[in-house]
Amino acid sequence: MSDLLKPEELYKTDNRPPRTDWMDTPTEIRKGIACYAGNPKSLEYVGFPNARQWSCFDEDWQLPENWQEIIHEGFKERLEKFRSFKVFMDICVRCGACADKCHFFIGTGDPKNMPVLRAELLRSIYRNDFTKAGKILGRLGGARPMTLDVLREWWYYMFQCSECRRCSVFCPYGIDTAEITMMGRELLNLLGLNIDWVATPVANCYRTGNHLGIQPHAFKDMLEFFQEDIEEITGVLVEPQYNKVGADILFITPSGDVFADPGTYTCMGYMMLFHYLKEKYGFDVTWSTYASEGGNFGFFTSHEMMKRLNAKMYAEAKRLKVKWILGGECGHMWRVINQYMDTMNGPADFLEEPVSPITGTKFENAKSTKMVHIAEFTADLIKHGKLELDKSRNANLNVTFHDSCNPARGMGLLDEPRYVIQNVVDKFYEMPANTIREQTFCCGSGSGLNAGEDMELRMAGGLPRANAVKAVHESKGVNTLATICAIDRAALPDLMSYWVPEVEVYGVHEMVANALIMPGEKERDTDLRGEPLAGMEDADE
Amino acid sequence: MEFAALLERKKEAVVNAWFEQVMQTYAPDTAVFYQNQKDAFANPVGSTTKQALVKLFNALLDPQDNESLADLIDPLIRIRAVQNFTSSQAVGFVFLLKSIVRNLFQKNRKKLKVDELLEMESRIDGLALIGFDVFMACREKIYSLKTNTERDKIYKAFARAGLIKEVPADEPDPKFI
Repeated sequence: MSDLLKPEELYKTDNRPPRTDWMDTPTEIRKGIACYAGNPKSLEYVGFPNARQWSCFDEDWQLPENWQEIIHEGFKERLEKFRSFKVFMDICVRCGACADKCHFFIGTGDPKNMPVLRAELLRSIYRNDFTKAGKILGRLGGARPMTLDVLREWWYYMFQCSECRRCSVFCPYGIDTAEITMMGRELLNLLGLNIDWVATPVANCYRTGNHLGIQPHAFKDMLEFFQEDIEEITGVLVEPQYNKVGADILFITPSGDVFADPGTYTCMGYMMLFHYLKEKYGFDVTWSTYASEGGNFGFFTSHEMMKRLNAKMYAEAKRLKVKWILGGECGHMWRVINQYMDTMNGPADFLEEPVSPITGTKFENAKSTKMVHIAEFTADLIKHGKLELDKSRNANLNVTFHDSCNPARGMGLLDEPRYVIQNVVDKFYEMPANTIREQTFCCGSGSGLNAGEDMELRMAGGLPRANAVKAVHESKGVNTLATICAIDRAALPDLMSYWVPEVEVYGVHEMVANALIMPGEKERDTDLRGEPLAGMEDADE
Repeated sequence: MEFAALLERKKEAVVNAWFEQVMQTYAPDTAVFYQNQKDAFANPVGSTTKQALVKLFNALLDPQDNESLADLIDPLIRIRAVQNFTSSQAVGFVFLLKSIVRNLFQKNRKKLKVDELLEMESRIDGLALIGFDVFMACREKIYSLKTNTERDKIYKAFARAGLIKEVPADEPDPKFI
């Protein structure tokens, strides 16, 4: 036996990754993880510098000659402008509380996805360029000079963060790592380094009003398709209002709800709810074909771009002379509204403090931004007994709720969607406590990472979320994952398809509309997806 | 003494050694986290890996059909198929068990027949091949998700440009009337 080769000698593959220090471990940009570079036309359209055709897989990134100087100056400017950025660069004691909280680290196993290390990528340059200790001690003090390898590392890892802020929940100093990623991306943008899944939606949104560049007439066409479908299913013709000057309320939702399944069913849900409220209570709400996007990919680009895209919502509200804005089921739109809007474009003092025209409830939390989340609006309607609901129409759905990162951690919207769900379905189960509410795990595709070419990253990053869904699927028979975010509705079906294929993704207002008893409706035999309702499986025969 | 009985007795130590070695396929800091965090929801990779290895080793001791083995190895391969591994690294962890089993055999070789070791090693080889099938299925799934994303994008762009005229579901094609 002793002369036999050992198995590891036979297959001669060393499974072990390098044992080198992180600064000495070179970054290999992998396909399946990295996203394609932004289309130069999209960057030019919004006036971003150094637009060019390039690829992160190329040796030569065609950087401007003085790129190091651009980064240094950009870094300096932001340290002076944003006190929070300066503080976040200085105060981290590397305690490691955040290290194992990131879904990308948990899923990919790549140590540079630990939030502390992702931030260290920037901090090491900060120390080198802007601190005395760093200048004197150099590497001993955790500093290193900006090189091409560092730039590649920045690019690779700033686009492996979905800015979900789960790590910040655990940071004893309250460091907002999402803001560090935002600054990292801003600096990369100075060199024309963006991804197309962010850059092109931004340009489209800036020009046409939404991510896909859908023009007003096509936007209206889509809602008309939904009108036909709703009429076929319920026998009721709903008639949305568009661009109505003097309407009480302006409704803005992510365009994903209008153009991408299964968000489209959620959109049908809004239309049915508004029709119901109009018939019963004279509710006066208008859609806008110009402010036709709730999402704000400027948030994933730079603070200026976020401000420019956010402003159009308020400009449209002003033009239409509405009282306040009602917002659809969206994720990061709500962080922008709740945490940044007021200082960027506010105060929106030309609007009124939001009051529900049906229940008289004052939405105190939206006093300044004048924008109310539809989950809160609907929860209030249900609480006051204003909706007639038939839960049995959702009897086939065994539901769990995925807290979307931004409504949960960015504005504390935790109980309202649950209250709505529990009033429209019978079977509802929570996922384990350390995967929901403030501790919710990201879908793995937020902040512009919902592209196709980075599918491995999305699947690995979404593993902690999928793992919790799988647990309630196996123990409680859950077959429905409800959510209140358009990126979730676009990303989670792929995630479920890979990890828990038996689970479908639903928006909350799709379930509301299934249960809603519309005035004058016919007996329904299918849900909004055209699937037979419980007990109606033989209705066709 | 039978080798199978010895492996059964030493099961926990063997699986722990296997788990330890599989963890060494990750970066050192990552391995520490995957091994030490016991909460399955905070650490799906470590917990899934451990559970899968326990079940797989039991299945090697008590041979099962290929389908059951595929089901057992699936959760682990499904994770490694999207992590930072080459194909051989993603599947190769199965072979790490060989040296553990062989070392155990060496220590007790006077009491054992070599045929039993060879049989166990063949089962491990068979498991690696099943792992390869599962790995390919996972990769094909990833590629089909990517393809569907692109196909959807093109279809929708055509539809928005008014280039698609679908056959109405409720009307027969006039050509066939």
